[in-house]
Amino acid sequence: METSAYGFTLLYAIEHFEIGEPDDPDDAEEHRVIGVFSSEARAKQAIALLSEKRGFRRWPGGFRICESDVDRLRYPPGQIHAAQEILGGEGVSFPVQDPLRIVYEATFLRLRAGETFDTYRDDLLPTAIGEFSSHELAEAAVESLKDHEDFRDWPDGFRITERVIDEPAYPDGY
Amino acid sequence: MSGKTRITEAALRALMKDDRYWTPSHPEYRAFTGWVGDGWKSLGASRTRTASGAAVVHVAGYERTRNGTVEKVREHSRSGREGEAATPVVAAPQGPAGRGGPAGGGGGAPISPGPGIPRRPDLLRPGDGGPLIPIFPRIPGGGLLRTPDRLAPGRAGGPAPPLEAGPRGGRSGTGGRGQGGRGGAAGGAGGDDDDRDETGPRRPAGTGPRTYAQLQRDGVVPRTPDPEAASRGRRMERIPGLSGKDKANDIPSWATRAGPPFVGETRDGYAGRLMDQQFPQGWYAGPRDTGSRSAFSQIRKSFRGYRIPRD
Repeated sequence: METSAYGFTLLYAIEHFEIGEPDDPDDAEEHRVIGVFSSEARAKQAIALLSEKRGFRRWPGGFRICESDVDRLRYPPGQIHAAQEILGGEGVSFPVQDPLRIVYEATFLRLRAGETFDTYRDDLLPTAIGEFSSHELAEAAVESLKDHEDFRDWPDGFRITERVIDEPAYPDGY
Repeated sequence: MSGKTRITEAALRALMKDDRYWTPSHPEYRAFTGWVGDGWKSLGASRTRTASGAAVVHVAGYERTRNGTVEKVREHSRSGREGEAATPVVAAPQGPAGRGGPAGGGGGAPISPGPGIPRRPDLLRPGDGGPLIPIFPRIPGGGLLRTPDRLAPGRAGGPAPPLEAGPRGGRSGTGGRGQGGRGGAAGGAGGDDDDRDETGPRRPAGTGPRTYAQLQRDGVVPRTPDPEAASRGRRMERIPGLSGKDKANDIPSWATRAGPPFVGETRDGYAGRLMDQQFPQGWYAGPRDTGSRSAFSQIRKSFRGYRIPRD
């Protein structure tokens, strides 16, 4: 796999927005995370396959690819140290996947009282915490943020999603 | 300034609760987080740990400002004993040859793999108002940062090329950098990535996260069409009656406190300005920092909830 400028393993994340190709993703009404891929070529192949599927074919230009560095804490922004270095230490280590097949994506939503991830209001914008090479590391990342002022009022707002590399979500459309 | 301090996991975890670790706008944020990060790294690698977990660790080369003079402190290390004062840090003379590295004279400690962490009494002292601390730039080894997806054309999915023959190479480690692997393999052509202020000196390639203003100077993002908008102080206003997604006001509290966009700002410029205010030491380290579900994106999205006031 490729390596980012700061030495992180590089994956290619695909998201789909209900927009045309020239449109701005921030203007989209609907947004879906398709998955993470080991190369840009594989990501583009997945897009080609999904573009024919129900739902996606209405917005074939709505796919976007973004480079994503594994094990980089994305909050606070600007982190360039590996999460293992920040969150690990004596007596604290994290499992190693070799080869990397699954990443664990940590996100955050400002849930209101009584809301769950299944019922949250649709005006919420999830915040990406990062994609990690182990569930334990993702949990440690979440734990490290729970006392931060931007998150402490929503301790249940974190979610960790498992994503198998090179396997797109919505293989039959939506 | 010289010397080393004992570190333990408990001490580092306590340091991570310090405001300076979590407040990017704090003048010591960058140095403090870097120092703590070095502590974690060194703690894990230390071969001279005591029963209580105290360790002395490797000291990377860094730059500091003392009495107004910039000094390069060479990379150095030594094995140590608990609580022992370290070999004095030797500052190499400023200049191209002064960059920390294994070569060079100056009488400093020989460079060899080993543990050590610089004592930072200034950082250990709680509260603000202390002297400015030295800067510890990270040198990730060069390499171009990739162009942000949203800010560059041609990132939409197009026709798929032939599938490559599987992932290239094997994977080692846990996805982070290898030991001592601050340098990235990707990118190349690091010399093209100089951060050059029009009036200031060059900054070595890829020394750390960049601000929006730096991205503009680097030509990664377009310049704000009306950079004087903020100076005129005229703000946009909330569009009444919006709700849900159109309102898009679910943004960090610090962004809310910054107020509406200025008339004349673009939404990229608005988001970039707020990010730079909150994270003045830099916040862009990769395309995901401006991508969907980033703080930049959330602020940018909130722009659509504003309009120019009807005077």
